[in-house]
Amino acid sequence: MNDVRRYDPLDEVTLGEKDYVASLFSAAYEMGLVTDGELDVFQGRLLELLSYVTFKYTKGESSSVMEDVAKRFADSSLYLIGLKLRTVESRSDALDLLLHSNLTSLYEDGVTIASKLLADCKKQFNSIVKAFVTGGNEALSSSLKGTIKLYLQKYSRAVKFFAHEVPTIIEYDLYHPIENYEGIEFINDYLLRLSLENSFLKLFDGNDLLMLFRAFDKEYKDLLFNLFEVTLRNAVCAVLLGKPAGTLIIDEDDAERLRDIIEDIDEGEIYNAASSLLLGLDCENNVIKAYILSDAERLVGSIKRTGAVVSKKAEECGEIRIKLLPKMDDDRFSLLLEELEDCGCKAEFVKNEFRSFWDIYDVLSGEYLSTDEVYEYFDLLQVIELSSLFAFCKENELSSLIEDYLDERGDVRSINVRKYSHSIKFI
Amino acid sequence: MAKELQLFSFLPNVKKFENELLSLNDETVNYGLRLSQKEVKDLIEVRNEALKDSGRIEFGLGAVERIITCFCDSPYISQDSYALIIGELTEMFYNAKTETLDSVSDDELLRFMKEAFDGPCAGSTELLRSRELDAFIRACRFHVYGIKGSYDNNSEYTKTKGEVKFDE
Repeated sequence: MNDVRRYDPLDEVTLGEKDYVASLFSAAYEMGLVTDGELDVFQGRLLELLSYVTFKYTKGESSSVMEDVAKRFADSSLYLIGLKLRTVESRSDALDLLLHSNLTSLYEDGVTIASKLLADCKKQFNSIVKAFVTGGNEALSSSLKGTIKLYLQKYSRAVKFFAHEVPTIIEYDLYHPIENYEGIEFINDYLLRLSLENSFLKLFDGNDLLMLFRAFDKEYKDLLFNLFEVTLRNAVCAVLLGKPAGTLIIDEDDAERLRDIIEDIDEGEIYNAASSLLLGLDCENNVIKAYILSDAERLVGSIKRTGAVVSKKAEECGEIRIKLLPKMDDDRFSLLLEELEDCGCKAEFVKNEFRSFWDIYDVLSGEYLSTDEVYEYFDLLQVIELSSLFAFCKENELSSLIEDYLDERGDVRSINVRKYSHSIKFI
Repeated sequence: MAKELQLFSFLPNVKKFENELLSLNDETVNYGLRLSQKEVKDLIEVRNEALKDSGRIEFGLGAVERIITCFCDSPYISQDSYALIIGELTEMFYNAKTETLDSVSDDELLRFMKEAFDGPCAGSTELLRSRELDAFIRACRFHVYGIKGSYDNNSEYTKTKGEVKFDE
């Protein structure tokens, strides 16, 4: 059977998610679907609903409230009714409900929907804060762990009276600001977008992100800026420069070349660069892709206007101080070597048991591990750990082994290891 | 998007209010008090103005009805002054609600006004407004702001545990 849908004249107009009831009524009124008489009756019923809400708010202790509070009740009630009506398939049916059904039950249904959204938001909030990249940015931390957390804590009472309201100040601006929603829907959408932006940041090396933010501004922790936008811009610029996907650090030489490249660049090329970036980062999240690629024009504008954040060359970046640990005593070292010989996963054993560079050097150069196992061990190290080891082993045979490893891997991590190793100073 | 429509106004349903107030005559007539149609109209106007002046909204007639039923047995109200006094009490009531920062319930405020009106004010609305209610409002505000004690020493009223009372 064909899926035939009844013609609904109200489908021809765009209705806002914000002020849904008002825009539905306006559209119906203009189309002659609602008469003045029906509007008057509706207003009377709305006043009855507000009387009910006021009674609940004052617990029956006061028949009047301040004007601004009454206005907030009215906006909140219409928002909650709108939440319910947006779940109705046909707009004509929604209008019919609005005109003929009990407004108090529509309001209560709206409260139920908003409460469910609140529960979803709380879950989402908990999963976001568990593993979140803030780079130490205060605006982001306080928006998430201060403002939004407080809002979610208080919303279960506010939902009945001030459901449409959002926190007055959320310091941290998103890459794509939210325009369509209010109330708990706004927070829900904010958390969703924030989570997407954060998932994107997690595709990059943590040290590179910190270097990028530091290069953006030394005081970046106290600065109001969107971490995602700065990261995306540099990552796309790096692709335009022909660097491997995932590169964020662009130095002065690169910046010179970049200026020539972006002079005549168009939207299509930026779109392609952003697509290559996502492909290179193995990003399979379609929502992130859409979030980035849906507004290539904005990205072009941003790149042309601002270019990339330029970092000083690694050797000019100042030194990274690493404290050298003393070599362990010989008996313990011999004991661990015996254990190493019988161990199934040698790379992991070395990583877990040997902390001092002196000991690591002895183990790696003592042929206790095959080349593959040594490479596996290098894979387990963080960028800064491998950079330090590389710096420690300069001018000896282990240095050439690390060189070979970095050549073979040839990825962004390898570039960074070489770069940081110049800045290491042992104390 | 369709143009925005004014969906609600807080304008009261005057006809409905008039009928509700007129129906109270059945009760007040036992005390020799009744409101004429014109007095009811005037009273609703006074109530609306008082709400507007005190920045308040009321959904329904609530307070005026309760003022009438609360004060109709006062020995200081006669038919001649009835409408005028109810009008003045209505103004004072909404003003006090706002000035006390909504910290007292309707019943609490009405109880205080009635006791003061029938007691120390001896039926004077002027004394009720300028002396008794003024002190009451200040006591409530100090309480709200948590400065209890600093005013209590010189006040005839104290507000403790949510109840405003005369000092013993």
